[in-house]
Amino acid sequence: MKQDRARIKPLVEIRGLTKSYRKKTVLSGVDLTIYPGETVVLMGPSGCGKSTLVRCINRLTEPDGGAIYFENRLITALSGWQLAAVRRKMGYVFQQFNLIQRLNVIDNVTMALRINGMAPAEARERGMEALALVGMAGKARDYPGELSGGEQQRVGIARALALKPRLMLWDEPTASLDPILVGEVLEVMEKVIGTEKTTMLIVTHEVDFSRRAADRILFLAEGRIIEEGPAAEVLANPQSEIGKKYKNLLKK
Amino acid sequence: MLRIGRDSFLKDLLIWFLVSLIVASLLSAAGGALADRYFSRAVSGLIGEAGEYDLLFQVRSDLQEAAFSRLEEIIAENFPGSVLKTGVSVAGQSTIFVGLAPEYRRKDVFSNLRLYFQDIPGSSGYSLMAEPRLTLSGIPGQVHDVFIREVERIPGVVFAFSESGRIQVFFRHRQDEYKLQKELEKLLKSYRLIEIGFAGEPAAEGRTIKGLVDLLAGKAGISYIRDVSAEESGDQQALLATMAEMKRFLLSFAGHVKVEPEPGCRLEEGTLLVLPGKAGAPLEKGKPVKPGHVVVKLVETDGELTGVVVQGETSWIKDRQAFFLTSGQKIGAPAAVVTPQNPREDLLTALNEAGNLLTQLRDLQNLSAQAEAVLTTADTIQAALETVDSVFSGPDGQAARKVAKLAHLFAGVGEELEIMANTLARLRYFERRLDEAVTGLEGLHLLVRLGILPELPGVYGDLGRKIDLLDGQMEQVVEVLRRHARTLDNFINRFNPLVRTLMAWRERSLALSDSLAAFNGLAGEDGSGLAELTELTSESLELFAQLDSSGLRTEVDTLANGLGGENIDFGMVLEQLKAFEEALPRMEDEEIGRTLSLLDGYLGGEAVSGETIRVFVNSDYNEAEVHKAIKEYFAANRVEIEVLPSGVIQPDIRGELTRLLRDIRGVVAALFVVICGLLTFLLDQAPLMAIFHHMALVFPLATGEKTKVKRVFYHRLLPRLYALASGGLWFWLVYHLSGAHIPYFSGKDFLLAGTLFGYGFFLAAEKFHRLNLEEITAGCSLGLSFTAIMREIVIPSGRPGLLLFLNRWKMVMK
Repeated sequence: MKQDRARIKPLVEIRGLTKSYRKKTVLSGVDLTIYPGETVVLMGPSGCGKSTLVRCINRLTEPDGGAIYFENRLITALSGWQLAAVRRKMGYVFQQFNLIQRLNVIDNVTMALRINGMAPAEARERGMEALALVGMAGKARDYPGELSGGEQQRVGIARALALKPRLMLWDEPTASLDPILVGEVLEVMEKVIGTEKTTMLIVTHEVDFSRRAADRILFLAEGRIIEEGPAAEVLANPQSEIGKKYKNLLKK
Repeated sequence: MLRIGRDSFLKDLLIWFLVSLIVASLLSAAGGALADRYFSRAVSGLIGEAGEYDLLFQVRSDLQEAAFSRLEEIIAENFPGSVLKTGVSVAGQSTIFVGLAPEYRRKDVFSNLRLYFQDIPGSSGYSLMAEPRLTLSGIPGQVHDVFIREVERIPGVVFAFSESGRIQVFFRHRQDEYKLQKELEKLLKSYRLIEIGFAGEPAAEGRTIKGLVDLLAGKAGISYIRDVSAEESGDQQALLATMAEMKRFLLSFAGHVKVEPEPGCRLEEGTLLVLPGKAGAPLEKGKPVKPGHVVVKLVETDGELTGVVVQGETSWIKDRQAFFLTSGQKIGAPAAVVTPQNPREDLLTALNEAGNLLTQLRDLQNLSAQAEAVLTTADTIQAALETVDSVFSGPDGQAARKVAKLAHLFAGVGEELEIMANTLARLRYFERRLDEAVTGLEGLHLLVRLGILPELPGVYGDLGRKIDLLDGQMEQVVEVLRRHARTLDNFINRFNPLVRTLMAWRERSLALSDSLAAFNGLAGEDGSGLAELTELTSESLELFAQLDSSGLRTEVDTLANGLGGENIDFGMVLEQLKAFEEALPRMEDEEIGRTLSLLDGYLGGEAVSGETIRVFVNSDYNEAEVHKAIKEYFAANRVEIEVLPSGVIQPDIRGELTRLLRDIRGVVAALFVVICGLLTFLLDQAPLMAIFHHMALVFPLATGEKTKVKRVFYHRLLPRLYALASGGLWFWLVYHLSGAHIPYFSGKDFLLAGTLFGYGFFLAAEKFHRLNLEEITAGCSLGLSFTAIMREIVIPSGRPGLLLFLNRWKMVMK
């Protein structure tokens, strides 16, 4: 996606983000800007802080320092209902799906809408649309325990989409799936990216998917973004060791 | 932030807190009430309804039937209309209840119950369970009389009596119990018990409890004081009573002196005086006292000073001048003039005389015959005198034949007169003996009465009864003898003038008879002798006329009935007198005096090291002043004084059981509180407390100024405060609202325990409730508020409890 960045306001702007778990520094001054409609893939070795970075953006994890702006609002300065309102603009797809086990598929998808005051019928309609997009409309009344991992993740994607978010945060959505189901989910993801005009920040190790779907790829290592650029360029000619390793994973 | 006014979770939490308090309190109170009801029924089944029975007998189960029969007999005989009921048998012991008929619920009956219910087979005694009643215990037995008097003045009290060291107070209406209890508490508070100990250090010599009591009486606000050092009951009290009686007896028995102080001399109890005694030589001031001297100690008896011999014998006292005995055993200045008295000797004499007399009492029964003989003789003499009179006044008085006959008659009458005079003299002798006997026996009778034994028949049993019998018999003997003595005295006094005249007549008549025999005729005489005889004859006949012969005969009949008619066992009386004489102490005056000193020391409560002195006083005294006086009096450095309550109020058996049931109800309610508390925490509080460990996730705070302080407060301090407060407040409030009660465990203790429990539960909350953090994180990511996360994710995942139940109304995704 080629845009004139100088004229467009960034959707997300991160400056000097730091985060430590006890004595271990996970993020050490991350700077990142994401523009509306952009699909950004964040790659890096395990434990490099990819998930922490994504969680910090909607404050599921509290950053230690730095600033995170969403739609020009400093979200670290928000709390309570203000933060909740911002979160509703960010869809989040979890590695472990994180579905509410006591609710069926449609209730999982529409829960946030209904709790926030949307009429049940309207919420259901929107929910069904989202489920249809991920190919799960037929299992709207099933419970999470009755679904496969791939299906659960598709429900998770539908739940995030139902909010009609400005930003979709994907935290390794295929990491918990067996290889057969990974393709199923990636397919849905590509479909969503192709269909929705939503800005995406995707954490994944899927190199081929990234080359196909991403506008930009970032490599994160040792708490910093060490390389970034358009997906084709970065994967064709990586400068970092991490980039080179990912390049080697590309199917010829 | 947390807001109560809006539709927030904090509001949910407050509603739940209130509802859970009410539910748990009701459940706990109901649990306690159920236990109370169950046990109350059991108790009513065991001991009957309130006031149904008055006495509870415990008997051996194998003798229950015999005991029941015996009780039936006693009730039929003494308390007809009363009821009996057999109770339960436990561990070889059975219970029998006795409910007295209303007319027997009187003070005299309850005071003497032990006399009625004796010899119950297999019984180990009975317990009083009459109601409504309160029991005062711990009050020394010596002041029971004072308390009973005061208690019976309280309105509503029916009567009070002393029983087994306690005072039982019966009142009219059960609803007055609280009011009366307050009155009794007030009464108990108006008295105090002062205990004085010596902590191993001896008190000053000669300091006695009696002395202390005398010292404190009327001092520093003490208006009532009584020595209660001795135990209220038991052997010691019996010993003290015996000693007191022995002292009285010895004081009456011992040789002593009456004391008249020298002018200007001040004598007081305890002063020692010395008299010459058998040492003979007059006493000299400053010389030491010798063994032959008599030493007396002054004691106060009935407000007068009497000297008791503590050295020597009363009989040694010849010189009545007594001198002071100084502290160095030296003779001092003249102190008093004494009059020795020896009741011991007097008593022995009286006993001796009484014994001798009684041996002759059978002879005294001949008195009537002798008096009858006097009367017969008097009749004969009167007839003779009338003959003589007719001779003297007849027209042919000079007939020699008649004169000769007269002479013969004179001789006969003379013998009769001799017999009558002798008989009267013998009667006079017996009359004197009777007087002596009466006096002696009266003295002895008084001594028997004075004696200790009849006053304590319960202690001395059979011997006491025998002495009592002797006392009765002697009273009868004394009365009869006194009556006989009066009769005899009257008889003799009536005859005395006649006998004197008759004796003169006899002398004259004998002289005349002799003249007649010598001169063979009255004519040759100058006639003066005959004239005198004629005059005496007339005088005698006048006296005879005045003599109420029939009255005298009646009196003689009384004598004739004799002592035998009085049904007196002289043999027994004699035997008992002898036994009494032998039982008298063979003690010298000196020994008695020393014994009296010893008894005085003991009875006066001489302070002994290690002994505790107890005095009962009114409570509104000046404590500091009294304590100072006590310490000064005993002059011991380590006198320990403790002021104790005069007694305590004990509820009756049912009251005790009611209290016990109240405790049981309280404990059961407390158990329910604990159970409800555990359930509440496990079912409702567990998810709450667990989520409080993840406050940063569900309750993110804005960064900026004071971020760290806010985080510490909201994420760390607030959850802990909630844990402490919810545990403490919840348990404390439910404990009080439910009426729970655990002995020796106050509401504050419950508050503390609840607080600790709440905090402990908080620390381990995630072990009791495993949160599904993935779901919660999802909720956060979807922009759900804290309230929504709690209502839709956290609480529905919890166990089914009150919080879950209440939450159903608030859930959107049901």
